[in-house]
Amino acid sequence: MATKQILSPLPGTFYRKPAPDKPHYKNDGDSATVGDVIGLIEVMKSFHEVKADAGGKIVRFLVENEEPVMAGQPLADVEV
Amino acid sequence: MTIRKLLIANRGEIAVRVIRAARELGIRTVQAHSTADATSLAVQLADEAVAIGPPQATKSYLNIDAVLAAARQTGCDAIHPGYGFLSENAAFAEAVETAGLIFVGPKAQTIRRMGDKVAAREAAINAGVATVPGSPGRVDDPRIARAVAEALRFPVMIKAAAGGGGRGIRIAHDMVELDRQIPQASAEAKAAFGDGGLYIEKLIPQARHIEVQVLGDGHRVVHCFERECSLQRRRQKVWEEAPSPVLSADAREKLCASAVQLAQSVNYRGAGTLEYLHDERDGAFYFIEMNTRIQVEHPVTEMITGIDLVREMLRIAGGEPLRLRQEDIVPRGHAIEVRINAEDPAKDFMPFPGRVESLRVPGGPGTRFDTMLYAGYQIPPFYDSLLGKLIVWDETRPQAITRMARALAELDIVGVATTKPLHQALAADAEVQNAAFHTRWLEDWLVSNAGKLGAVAPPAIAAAGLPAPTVPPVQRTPSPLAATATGGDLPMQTRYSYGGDEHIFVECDEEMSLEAFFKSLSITNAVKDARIKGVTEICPANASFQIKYDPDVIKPADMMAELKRLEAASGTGGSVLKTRIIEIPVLYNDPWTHETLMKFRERHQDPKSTDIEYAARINNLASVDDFVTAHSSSPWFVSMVGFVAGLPFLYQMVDRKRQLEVPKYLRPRTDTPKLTVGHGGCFGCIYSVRGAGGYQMFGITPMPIYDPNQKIGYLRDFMCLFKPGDIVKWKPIDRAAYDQTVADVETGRFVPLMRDVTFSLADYQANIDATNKSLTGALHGH
Repeated sequence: MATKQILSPLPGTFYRKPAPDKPHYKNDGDSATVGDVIGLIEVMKSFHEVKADAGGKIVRFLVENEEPVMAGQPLADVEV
Repeated sequence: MTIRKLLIANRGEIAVRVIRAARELGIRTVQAHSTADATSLAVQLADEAVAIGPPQATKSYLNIDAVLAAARQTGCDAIHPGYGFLSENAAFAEAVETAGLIFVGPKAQTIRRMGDKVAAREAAINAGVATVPGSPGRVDDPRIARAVAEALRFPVMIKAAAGGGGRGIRIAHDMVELDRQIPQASAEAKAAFGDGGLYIEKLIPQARHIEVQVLGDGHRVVHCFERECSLQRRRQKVWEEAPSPVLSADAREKLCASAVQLAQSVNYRGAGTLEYLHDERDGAFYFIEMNTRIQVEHPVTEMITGIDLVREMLRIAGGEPLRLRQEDIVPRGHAIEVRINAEDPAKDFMPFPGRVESLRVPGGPGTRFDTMLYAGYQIPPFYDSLLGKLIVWDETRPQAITRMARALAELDIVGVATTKPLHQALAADAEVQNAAFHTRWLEDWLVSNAGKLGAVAPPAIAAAGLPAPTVPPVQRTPSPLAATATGGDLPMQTRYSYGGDEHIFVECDEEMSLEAFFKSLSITNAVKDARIKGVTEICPANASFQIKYDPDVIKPADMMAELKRLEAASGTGGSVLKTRIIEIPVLYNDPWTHETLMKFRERHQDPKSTDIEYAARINNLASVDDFVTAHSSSPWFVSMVGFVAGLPFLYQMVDRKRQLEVPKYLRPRTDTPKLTVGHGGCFGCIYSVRGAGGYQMFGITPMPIYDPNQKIGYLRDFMCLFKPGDIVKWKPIDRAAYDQTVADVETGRFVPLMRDVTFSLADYQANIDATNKSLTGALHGH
């Protein structure tokens, strides 16, 4: 079992859900396939989806909802 | 109760603007800032600075308690809210006054009244000011909505009562659309603004946006003439001017008088703007909304009137009566402002929060640059993209446009993509010069003028949901002269450039050629083999390549030196390539691209024929069949993969003089079927996904080349079929074979025909036909 990390493609604010009143895209322990949306990055008021680039089990998110992130910062650990 | 110490509850260029006005009045300034703005220009310029929270605006600039605490803590007696953030928040204005401080702006009740679109409309109607014909107030009953729409005649706009900034607006063209959109619009408004209230207005096509600046002291109101802001993208203003180039003196007087009347009717205090739509066909003006704050584009009014609006705001807030009489305000000349945003106009205005490596600011007569930038500034990604506003004044509008072009040429922001190229193209545009525009004009213009924005316009696909392309946007279409250039020309020296501190971009030649491509491929292969620590991405593309690296692992200068060393070591050799040849079945003249190309006929050079007929004709081929033969008989090199995921650019492997060449569409299409075989300039391509595009369409392949789900057998390991260096051979097929292949793909029985081959550039140069024959022979086991 190898662990991979999903990295933030952009700097900005990380959102784990599509809207404030919606559930998280993914929770710790969920499985993800390549291309699944795991969150959003808001950069200069425009929103960009973050997709899983590795399939497997999301062990845990490393960044909280609405936290600022840098480009290349790990967002989640995935067991592939 | 003159203001002694002012808290600036905003950021960016407007914070700098407020600090300047306050300092000139002898008011001490305190800049409230988030942790992300600790190094901002406003913080540097203010007398004091106070942190109010983390980067997210909701936890800092929008946090009323934090702003009030900062004001108390630093002993401020007034707060300037700037624009955006809390500037039009009535609860905030009220809280400031309750705390015993001065809010630089109107009373909370005025904000409440004019901030609600429906209440503002009612105020306008009561003051005798025309509004866009629409529902008398909120429409809660869908039956009333239908009746209102019926009476107004379609198209109509459905707007959120609590909306603003162009958000929460939908357009219905008929009853069916109206019925469908009302519940959606209400739900959206509820989600976005916490209030599901709607109202309905008639849509004025081709309207101009004209607004009037007013100043009031709570008793008396004057106007400072109008601004025109018709050039908008996604309802955001892009280019603003004063005065409006289309108003007669009589119309101007009436418009400004109506604005004063309306502002007077609410005893307006402070600086405000009343926005109108102007229907040029009948000269009508319709009030749309009032902004109860200073606006981004206020400097154009300052330039033509000589009034410092922000200073006047502070004086009024400090309790002084309005100093200006209406007859003292006399406009002179013409002013234009353009918004310099950190957005890349060549990439659909993608935000670009980078670091300003260096900065050259325009100057000289009639030129003003209001900005938050300085050299070395790291632009934070958490706020809007406005970096600054370039404003010019001159005696006449044509002279002002000339001056704007001059000032834009002086402006140089290194390290960040900005909207400067957009403004340069606009300043050079005949319709802009003639002021022949309306609020929807710019969006149409952007579709047909993408090429002027530094955009490569190969298949201009909106990368729906796909990450930004990793391929540098360089695609060279050889000039017609290249076909006759002799081989005796000296090769260009390889050109290296830094892209920020994480990319190096290397151009191997001025023109696309197999030789240049091989040079790029051999250097990138050498980079791969050298396993340089810190390199994260290697991307060959046509006659160039780009390397991405981690500057914390390898310094930019070291990376550059390493690349130059590898270029020298690779020499001109490395021209033997182990690669594969792949057969791609094509249904030429297929019904799907035919339907699409007929739909976009008015964008084509030759509206009376099809793309393939046109291509045959201009390549001097007698028939479409001859064209198909010319297209499919030679192999093609994959010289670049990208633009959108998996899309191959193909370079025909025949003598340069015999290559098929077809220009792109005059204006790009908004649709291209998936797997279309296209052509633009001397490049072929296969559209890996459906989307917009500008290449000519010759046919379609049934063979998938991109599968993000990685379900298709041969795309299971990697979702893109192609890589640079692959060789493609087209195979013309008929409809029955097409349908069979589609069915085989569906059931997992389709196996693409591909073979490993070795390609030698020297052999190819010595004898093209023999090399091609041996390559295509390999497909069939020879």
